[in-house]
Parts: sequence; structure tokens; C-alpha cells
Amino acid sequence: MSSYGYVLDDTVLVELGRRDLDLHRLIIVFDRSHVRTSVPAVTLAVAEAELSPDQRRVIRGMLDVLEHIHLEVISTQAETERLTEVVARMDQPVDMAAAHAVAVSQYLDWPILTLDLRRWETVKAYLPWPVELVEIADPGKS
Amino acid sequence: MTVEMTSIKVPKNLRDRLNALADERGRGTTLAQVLEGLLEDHETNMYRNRMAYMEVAARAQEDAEGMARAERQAEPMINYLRRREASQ
Repeated sequence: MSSYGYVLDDTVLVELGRRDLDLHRLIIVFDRSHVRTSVPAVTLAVAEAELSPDQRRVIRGMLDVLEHIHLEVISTQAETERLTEVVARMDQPVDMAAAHAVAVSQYLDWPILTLDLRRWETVKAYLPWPVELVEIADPGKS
Repeated sequence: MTVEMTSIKVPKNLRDRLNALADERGRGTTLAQVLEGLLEDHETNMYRNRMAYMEVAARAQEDAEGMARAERQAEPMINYLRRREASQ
């Protein structure tokens, strides 16, 4: 298994829940290529709040079925502290979806995959470290 | 048919919660039946989640051109990760 991968942000998770087939194809190709994808639990919780129960099932099923996608939970003191370090540096009200994505990205040293770089402008302005973002382009334009 | 039985140790508060569920489900409900019901609920929930995703994944993959487009889209993104890894 590769040691590299992407962290999914809330913009990606919401569209996966909404059954965006182009996005699902991309995640399937990553999985077949043994590229790992990480889903931060707090980011997922915020994304799921925008989704219907049926849409949430799509994401939960994806986490269960695909081999190289993993939920990153907060169950240890170290995981809590990593999130705290990010939250402490963010503007109020804290963007918890972004905070957990950044904490996981920093820890794994993986870029964050997003559908919208503008979603990250405010977050990046407050953090003292660079946040590595990769925007998913419209596949029709590639 | 004789069912082989065994015992498990659980924390007291968990046993109390299981007992409360057994009481809710009516006289004569055993803790084994409560546990079996909880497992069935869990398995059904997991099954529904998997089916919800598999339906979407099947629709996504039945479009051969869409999958080819996704592979072209993924290639530079995977190469970016490989280059990044190699430079560290």
C-alpha cells in the first residue's frame, strides 16, 4: 500500500453524498490505484449535517466498501491535541470542518483535496503554516 | 437441536443497559435475544449503507467513457503525490 494520499474536505464529502458520479469515479480510480484517502471525522460530521439520511448512507457505505479510504477519528489525547493546535489558531467562530482536515493533513503530511479553493481562503489567512490544497478540476475540462 | 452456550463478561453498567432493553421488549426476553437483535440491527444498517454506495458505484462504473475520463483526471493527481513523496 502506498504511504501517500489525499485528505478529503467537506466540499468533496458533501458532493460524494449527493451522488456526484464524476467525483465517485475519481475516488474509485484512486482506490484501484492504491492511493489512500482520509476522511477526518469532524469534517465528515459537518458535511453530513448538510445531507439527507439516504445521502449519508452513500458516504458510510463508501467508507465500508472501498479498501484505501479511512475515517480518521479523535480517540486519543494525541489526536485531540493535534486538533487543538489548529483550533487555537483559527478565527471565531471556528471552522471545525476545516480544522480537522488541516490537523489530519499536517499529521499525515498529505494534501487536502477540495472542490473549491475559495472555501479555504479565510482558513489559510489565519493559520501560521502553509495548507497544501489540491483542487479537483471539472473532468469535462481536463 | 442443542445450542452450545457460553458466558461473556461485560461491565455491570452494560449489563444494566441490556437488562433495561430486555424489559422494554417484554416478559421473557433474554439478554441473548437482546444482543442478537442489536447485532441484526447493526448488520442491517451496514447492509443498507453498502447497498446505497454500491448502487452509486455501479452507476458510476457502467459509464466507460466516464471512467476513462476519471483515469485521465486522476493521473496527474497521482503523479503529483509520487513526485511529492520522492522529493521528501
